Amino acid sequence: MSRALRHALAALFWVAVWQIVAMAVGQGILLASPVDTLRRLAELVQTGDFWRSVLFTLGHILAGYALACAAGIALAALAARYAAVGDLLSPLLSAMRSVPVASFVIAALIWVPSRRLSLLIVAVIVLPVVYAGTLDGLRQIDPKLTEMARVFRMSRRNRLRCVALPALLPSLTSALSVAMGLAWKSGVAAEVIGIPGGSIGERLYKAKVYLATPDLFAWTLTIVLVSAACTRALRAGLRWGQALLAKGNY
Amino acid sequence: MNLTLHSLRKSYDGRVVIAGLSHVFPEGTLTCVTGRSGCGKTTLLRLIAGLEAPESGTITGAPVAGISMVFQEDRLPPRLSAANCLRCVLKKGPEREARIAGALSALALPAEDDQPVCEYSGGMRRRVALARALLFPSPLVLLDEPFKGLDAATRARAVDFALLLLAGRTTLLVTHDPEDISDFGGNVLRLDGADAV
Repeated sequence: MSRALRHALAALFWVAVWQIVAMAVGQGILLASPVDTLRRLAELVQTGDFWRSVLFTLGHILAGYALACAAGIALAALAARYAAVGDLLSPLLSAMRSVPVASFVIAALIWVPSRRLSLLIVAVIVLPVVYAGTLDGLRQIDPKLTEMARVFRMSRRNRLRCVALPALLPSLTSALSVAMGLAWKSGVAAEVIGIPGGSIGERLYKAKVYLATPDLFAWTLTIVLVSAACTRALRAGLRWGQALLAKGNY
Repeated sequence: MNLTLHSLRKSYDGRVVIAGLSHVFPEGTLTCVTGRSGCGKTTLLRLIAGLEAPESGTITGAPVAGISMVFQEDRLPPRLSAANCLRCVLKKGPEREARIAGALSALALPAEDDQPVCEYSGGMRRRVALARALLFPSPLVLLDEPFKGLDAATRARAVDFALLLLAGRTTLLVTHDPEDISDFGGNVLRLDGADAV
């Protein structure tokens, strides 16, 4: 049996468990069943508001993620080059890792409008993860290959492609994948607290206020699906990049 | 230009490896550097390559535009194919691909394929490292036991190819193998701990 089939069967098993429990509870307001959730989702996807909300949240989360990736990679490169930068950043990034998302969100609400909140929160949450992954990868660069590149006066571009990136990418890929999941969790949490108009977070908040449990589940399922699609797209892009590095035109 | 060492000294943790070594390697000649293990042969190559700084003394005549070198280890980017390992140190040009194909063929290495060198045998990786040093167009070639781990037939092919590409280049060949000295001829610099003979 293939791995994909085993995963699909396992997922099916848990959906069946969910359906049985929902039927046993018998109150949709407490636990929406998978059938109710899918029915509600099918209704939602036919509305323009649904897609506007998805695009709003997707745009802000991806923008925050991209910002954090750029900053995390740049800071890690500086820290790898200059130990003092790493020493200086270490307590700040440790604090960023341990402060709860809710504390960041409430503090950030004072500084930025709620529409930009998820972008900022995603950047703050993702940055330490990308920084740590990049720094770890940079430390994997074989110093013997670095010496070889120096002796042969390899171009900066080829040093990056042949020596740095192959060592960096496994660790960076793992960090970027983990960070994508975190970005969605923290971004939507920020939206639920900040309630920017037209976001998925606002829809979730309203679902809670009006006790619209099928809506809550349908929007949650939407978040899971879009987050998974983003992670898959990211991994595919990174795999493509790695293959290009190995086989590319040097 | 001759490669000249003047009163070169290097020690590690107080243990003197090279003490006051002076020597001239005439331009375009090959010198076999021999001596017992730990006598400073590899250190000498690293000093000339600029990978380590001498405590005192000077080295003149080493080219600034890169040095052809076979290290003690193969030092190949593990995920690259043999051809890409060579491409990444060679500038693009009209003859580059033909030279790479010729070197791979001469050293009995697979032609263009996607197999990364980390999946090659030790002997194949050694030949890729040798091809890289020989194709890199530097007037100075530093070879640290370049035929280590090769069987007799493969070594013979590698020696023939090396003799062809080393002609006219200043070469230092570190070796323990008397066969290397007889195959390559040239001068012999015997290091003996702190002294050069």
